[in-house]
Amino acid sequence: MKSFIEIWIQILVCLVISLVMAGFMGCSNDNQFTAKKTAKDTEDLSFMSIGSFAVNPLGDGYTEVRDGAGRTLILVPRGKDVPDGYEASQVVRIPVQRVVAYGSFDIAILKALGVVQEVLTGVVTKKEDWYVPEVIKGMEENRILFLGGYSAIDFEQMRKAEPELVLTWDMSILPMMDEMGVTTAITTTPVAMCLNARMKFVRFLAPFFQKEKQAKQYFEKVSKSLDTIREVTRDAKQQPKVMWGDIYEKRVLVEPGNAWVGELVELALSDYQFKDVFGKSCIEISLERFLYSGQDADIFFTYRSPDSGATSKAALARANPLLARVKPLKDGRVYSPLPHYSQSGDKLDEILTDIAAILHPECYPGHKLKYFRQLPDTDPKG
Amino acid sequence: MILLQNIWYWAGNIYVTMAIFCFMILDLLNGYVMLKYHAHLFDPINDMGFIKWALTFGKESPGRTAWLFILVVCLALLGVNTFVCTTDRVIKLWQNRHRFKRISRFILRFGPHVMHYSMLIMFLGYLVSYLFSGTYLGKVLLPGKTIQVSDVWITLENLTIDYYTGNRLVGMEKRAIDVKARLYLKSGNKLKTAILSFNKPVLFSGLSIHLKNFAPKTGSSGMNRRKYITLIIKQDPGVRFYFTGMIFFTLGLFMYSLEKTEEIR
Repeated sequence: MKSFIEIWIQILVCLVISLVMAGFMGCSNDNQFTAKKTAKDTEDLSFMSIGSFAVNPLGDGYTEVRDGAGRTLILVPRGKDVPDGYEASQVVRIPVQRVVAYGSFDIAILKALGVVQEVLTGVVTKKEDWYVPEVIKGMEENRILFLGGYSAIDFEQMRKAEPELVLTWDMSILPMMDEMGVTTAITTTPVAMCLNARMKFVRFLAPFFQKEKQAKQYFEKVSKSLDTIREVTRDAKQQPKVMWGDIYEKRVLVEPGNAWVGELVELALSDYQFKDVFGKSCIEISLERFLYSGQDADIFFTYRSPDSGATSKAALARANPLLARVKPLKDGRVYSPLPHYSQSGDKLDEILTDIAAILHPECYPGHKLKYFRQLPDTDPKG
Repeated sequence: MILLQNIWYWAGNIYVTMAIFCFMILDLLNGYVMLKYHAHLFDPINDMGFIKWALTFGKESPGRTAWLFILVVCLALLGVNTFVCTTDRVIKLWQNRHRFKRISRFILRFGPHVMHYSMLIMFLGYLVSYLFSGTYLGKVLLPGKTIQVSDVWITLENLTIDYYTGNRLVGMEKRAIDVKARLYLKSGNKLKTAILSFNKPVLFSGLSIHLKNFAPKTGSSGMNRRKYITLIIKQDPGVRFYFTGMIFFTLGLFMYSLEKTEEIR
């Protein structure tokens, strides 16, 4: 009996060691990009998960993708047969030639892939609110149609846009799109995109347009900027406390810790005040929690752009007196995104660098912000 | 023959049971960490099925998913161990049946074994679910619209969303607090009208229909959003095994309680 127990103890010890090693292998966070991992990411053309998205090349030009809602779509090269087991609403003929896109990040990624001018035929933002030259020009030339606000889509306009694919976050249009015979891909996810997914999202859209090479270049560019940020901020002496969100009339919204901004703040040797909050982007939290985290924060990123009232700390405080209680409004720094920020996903590397420069200005002497503006204490007089 | 006997003996050994349990605890601790940091890797199992998941997500990140494969192996071993151990006991009990003065007492003695076999049926149900269940995601229904899933037609007849109208909970003002969707279901000659709500799935013709989401979540917020619901529809042959297992487990528990009550008397 003794030898039996000894054997089992030995087996158990071996198994424990292997499990612990497996744990160490697997518990690294997704945002830790080692050089090795980056190399794998850029070369590997096999199955790839991108947050809640996935791309699964099936060979012979066919690719199966999983969109943000967990729906499976099959990308079929033009002229080839559709494999069995897929409904018509799941089939996308590639390369896609006509696209309607709701999200500005989706459109920015189309720009990064170099197809925005060729394929985009419809948007849900008015011409005067666009900062992407290709979109403005397309709308002026009537190649790109305004389909109405996202909550009031004009389906006649949608029909005129003749999309083969709609990139959207709005699931309520799925039945209408099915009736119109248009395939829809949901490009948002129930939880916020992590930094890794934000960077790799381009590789989800690339197979739709057979632009994998451009996706690889974009990913490498952003990945390199992240490596540079890590390198530059490595010896930063201060770890500023950062909050990203806003107080609205009846709601308090913040970026959760699992969102790409939260991960970037942590990666750039700073403290994200909402790192324990998990969920979707712009998640609602209690006012008390927001104010508590704001007590000792150093930097505050507001969602509001100057157009929506974020012209100075005083203006923010006037808009919502409760906001005046957070430390950055008293003696810290407050940043507001410039209007073109949300449409500049194709310059993600520059956005990441801007944020890193805000967190550690001492590491980026002379850096000029392109996507954010530091709010003055008061609005200039006159 | 001796080899088979030896295998049978070791397969049902109580030390093997303990070792499996210890290993499962360690494995599940590892799994907790993986689930906490990489939940997105495991979510798709529910709709893809285990085999397809293993060949895609599982294979892509072996360091993060290995614990689940190990757990499956452990559960399989535990299943075999439980079956052998229980069967051994059942055989011995049967061989000693003449020692019981009353037949009822003899039958009640099977209580723990019925519970063990029931557990195995439930394990089998999980296996069947992961291997053979089909899940339809992203099915959206607007009021008055119909969708087809398998050979079932589902129509959303009416969608009622109740919003908070009080003023005591400031944060809840005009927020949805309840949703009820009246579905009209048709499959061949079978017809059914049912109310679907959160935690109140509708079962029809082998499908279980679950409410996943709905809109709008706020009443008259200024944004004129369309009313709709999104559904998760499952075709899960494993459900029958769970229910069978649960019924027999309850029976076994009842037999065991009765036997113990008689012992006390």
